Amino acid sequence: MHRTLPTFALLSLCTLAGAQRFDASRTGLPERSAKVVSYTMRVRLDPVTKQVTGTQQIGYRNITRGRTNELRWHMYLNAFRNLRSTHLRESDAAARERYKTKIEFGEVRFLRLTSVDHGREHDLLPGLRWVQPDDGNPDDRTVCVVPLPGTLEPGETIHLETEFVAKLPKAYRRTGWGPGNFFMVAQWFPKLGVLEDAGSGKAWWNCHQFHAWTEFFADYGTYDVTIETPKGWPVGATGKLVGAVASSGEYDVRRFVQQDVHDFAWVTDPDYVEHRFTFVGANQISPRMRAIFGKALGHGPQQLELTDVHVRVLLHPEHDSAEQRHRHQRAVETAIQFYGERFGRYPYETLTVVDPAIDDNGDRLGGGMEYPTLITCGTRLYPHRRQLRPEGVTVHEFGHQYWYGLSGNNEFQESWLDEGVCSYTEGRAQDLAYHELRATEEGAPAVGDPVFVTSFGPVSVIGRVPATLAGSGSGGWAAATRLERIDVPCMLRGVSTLFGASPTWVDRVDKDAEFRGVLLPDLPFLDYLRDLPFLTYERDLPQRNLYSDRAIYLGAPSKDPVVQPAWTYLDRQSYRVNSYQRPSTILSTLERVMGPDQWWPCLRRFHERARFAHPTTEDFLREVRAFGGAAAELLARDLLLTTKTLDYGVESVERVADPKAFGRFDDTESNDERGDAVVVKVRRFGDIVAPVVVRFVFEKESVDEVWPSEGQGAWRGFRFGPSVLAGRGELLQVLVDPPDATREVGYGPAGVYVVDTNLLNNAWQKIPNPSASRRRGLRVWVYVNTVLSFFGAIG
Amino acid sequence: MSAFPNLVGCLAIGPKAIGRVLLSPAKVGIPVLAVAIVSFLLVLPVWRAVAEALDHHPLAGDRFGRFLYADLERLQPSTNLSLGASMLASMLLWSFFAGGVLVCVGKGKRRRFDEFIGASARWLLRSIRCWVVFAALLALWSWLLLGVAKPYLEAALVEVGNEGSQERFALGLNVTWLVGFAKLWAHRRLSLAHMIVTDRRSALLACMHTALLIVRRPLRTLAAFLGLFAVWALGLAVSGMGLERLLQAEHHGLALAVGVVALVWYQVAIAASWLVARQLVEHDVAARPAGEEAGIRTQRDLDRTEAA
Repeated sequence: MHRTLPTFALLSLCTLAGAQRFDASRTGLPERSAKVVSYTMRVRLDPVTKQVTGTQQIGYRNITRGRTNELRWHMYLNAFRNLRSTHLRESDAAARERYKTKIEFGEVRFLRLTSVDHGREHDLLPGLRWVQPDDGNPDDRTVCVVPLPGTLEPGETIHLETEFVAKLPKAYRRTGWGPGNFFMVAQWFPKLGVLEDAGSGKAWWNCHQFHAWTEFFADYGTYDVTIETPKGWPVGATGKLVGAVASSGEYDVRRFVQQDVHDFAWVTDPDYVEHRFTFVGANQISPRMRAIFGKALGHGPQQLELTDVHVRVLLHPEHDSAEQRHRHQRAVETAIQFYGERFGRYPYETLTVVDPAIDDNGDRLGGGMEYPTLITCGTRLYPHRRQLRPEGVTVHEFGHQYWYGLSGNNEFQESWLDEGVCSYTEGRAQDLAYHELRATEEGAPAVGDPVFVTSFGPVSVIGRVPATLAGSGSGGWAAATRLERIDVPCMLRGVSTLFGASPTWVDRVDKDAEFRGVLLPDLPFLDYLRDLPFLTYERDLPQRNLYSDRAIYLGAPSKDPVVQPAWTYLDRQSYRVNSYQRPSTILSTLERVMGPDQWWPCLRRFHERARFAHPTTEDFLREVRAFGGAAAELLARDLLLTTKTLDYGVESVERVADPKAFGRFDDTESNDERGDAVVVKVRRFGDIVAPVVVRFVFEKESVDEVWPSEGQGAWRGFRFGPSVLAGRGELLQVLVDPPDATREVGYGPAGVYVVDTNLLNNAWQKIPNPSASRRRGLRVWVYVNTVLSFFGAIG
Repeated sequence: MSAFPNLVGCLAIGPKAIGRVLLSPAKVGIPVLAVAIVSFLLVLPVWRAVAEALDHHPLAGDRFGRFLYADLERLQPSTNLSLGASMLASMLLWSFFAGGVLVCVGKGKRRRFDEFIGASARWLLRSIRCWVVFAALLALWSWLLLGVAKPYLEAALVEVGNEGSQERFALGLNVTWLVGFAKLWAHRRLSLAHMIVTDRRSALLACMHTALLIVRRPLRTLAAFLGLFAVWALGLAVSGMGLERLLQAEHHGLALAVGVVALVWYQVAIAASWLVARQLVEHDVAARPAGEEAGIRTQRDLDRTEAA
């Protein structure tokens, strides 16, 4: 039966000129995507059976130069069908242990699948088969192939109709149901993969399995989804609510429509409290950015102007306080302003910000995830005044609206293009927004010295306990001494391990006693207590994303190149470092190498060309070359595509006696340059060659010398003879890649190369200053005394 | 038969015990010295590595210095302390000195150094037996509370998905466990004191006797240790504040001195906790009706025997 499909009309209006390839000739923001696909769905949630059943009407257009005789589908909910799926195999054991009964598993399957061609229906279901293109795992059913009755030629559109049922799993990370009636409905419907040009007039399906850490790559199009949920349940979803909430028996019916997106997710929970506000787009661009983009890209005010965004915040009642609302709103406004100013306006009318539920283990379900026009953030019961939580995750997830949403890179193959760029921009947005936190730092804050705290990422910033206590972990003694969380079972586990107890036995005991300990509220007294030397090595000082990202990057600086398929990294640490912190550190370095006047136009131009397209690393490198020159591109290429590292440092500073002017000299026998000379040897310890500035600080003046990359050897000597020393005074300090307080990016011990793997060797001074080592040594000693005395008291 | 002290009297036992310990500086000096040696041995290589890395770095002394710690901890493995063996050593050290403190400190007469060491050695095995009983009881308590009772309590008390409810439950469970831990900690001290005061060998029997004491006088035993804890915490807070300010002002010599005071204060409090236990046991024994513990030889009897 042929049906009228209004969205199909939209597809036919689009032409091949709007293909989703990176458009290297574009000079502004595109208004619309190529709309390769359209989904019109009507679905109903049954909260008892945890099932979503529905129908789909799909229009799909082949925009490649090749033909295809099959369709490939993402059936990602099947990742939760059994414990042997690729997703759960790649996850840690704890994830698999969450599933204890059959009801907790999920799956998605077609009940009907037909193609509609000139009024004729073809049943495609009999030909369906499961494939595993990435790892050949026969137990994985997250990708299926459906043969077509004919061939889909370039430019042709196929119309499909389906009925499907999605059984939602117990949520532990991204999708499914949680306590009460919380439903996070993501990766839930049969979705087509991406048909790409394979060269020579051929096309291939880029359709990866659902992996543990990567999951996004799809075509842009229009989603028109009608959702039926039990009466009175608030719903947050991708897109704009069209019309009023209708009623159908015991169900509320809502229709959400959104163009130019590549996914659709929704969430519902009867407990949600809804708050709304509008981000006003007018007058949000700073004069400085206007000037930079006007000069470098020729953009006028109209191209830079932002538009209004209607924001809904869905909070759980426990988090519905004035402080939480304020912090969420401010974070969202900060993010919309920052990303809009730097990369172009947010093109959608709505944004839904979701506070996900927590499960019985205290884990946040779907916390920190991004979907088009919908993000899940996650806050905690006691938000700390000086910890940017929920701000960090909110800014980060909104950033994905640009780097994942609007710039739709293949996350499976180049995850850094969304996670890495987002981590970098998240830090920069916070740099600029949360100035008042500077006042908490020791010393007067300098102009252009962004200082903030954040809790995003695995680095704890409240207190520091660098001592490696056996068995200590984020929830054990370390957290207890930070006065963040008291977790007796975890502490007991640490003590058991300390005495050599079998890990298996300890794990069993720990599992039996599993609970997450208690969060300690944000009380100044606790902060003060925690900061005393008895409990920490260092007082609680604000961190910067720049340096916390760098610290994590240095945990695995050369395990893998940044760019490679996400499931092929050496281990999970390598995936995280190479997807988040290392690219963030690399981008900070490139910002400094190129300078803000070139860097921001470069990144904006890259985004403009990548908007509604599928950009690659090569596209990024092309823009770096265009704005930063060949040297910047070479540096970026080395940092992103290889495991090379960069490290420059002072090898030695020696005072050498100048030999007496005794013997035969060609010009004169009265060489009057007597006295000592100073020889400084600067060395390249890493593999990456780059120009580096060496600053020599004498008693009377400072001199900067550039060690260029051309013809650069492994080391270079600088000799200052007696006459130089007589004029400039004694050499007091040597700084390789010296810091520059005028930079917009966080000022710290690194100059240009934040990626330098060893900043300890970057500087030398003649007169030692033991204040840092004494402070550190004393605090370590007092801390150790406390630990030993604590155990002495148990003895 | 003398009366067991009332609540106020028990509160005063702790501070008085601290005073008695301070009157025996030579004896407390030994554990202080031992812990100090262990901690210096641990920390000196760290200090040296930090000094080597940072003293000649012009940016280490200012507020950017902390950004260098990531490099320091990664490139200088010696800065990452592993304290497991030292913790065990510290526990054994105080298990050893416990006997000496119980016998020789605060007895009103001067004891020689060799007597202190001799008493420590003499009661070591009993101290360890007491420790084993303590560890077994702690494991039992942890298993009962966290392994057996917790699922039932959680099902009854926690509203799933309610973060506040989870946190309150976790707080309650943690506090309950910590109260039990504190009771067992005090119990171990009382048990060893009972073994020494009454010259009994069985840690289990001593444990049962002192369990009766705790059951009969729960508030007063609690008060005795609380009084000690309060004075100790006050001293620690004062020294902590001083230490923090001195470090900020870069008066490192004075900060070191205050650190030493804090170290001594820790050991004084540990020694005083043994004296509190002894006082409580002595009061308990003295307060019992004649014949209740027939055949028990008190420390006084032992001293008389020894003198004879």
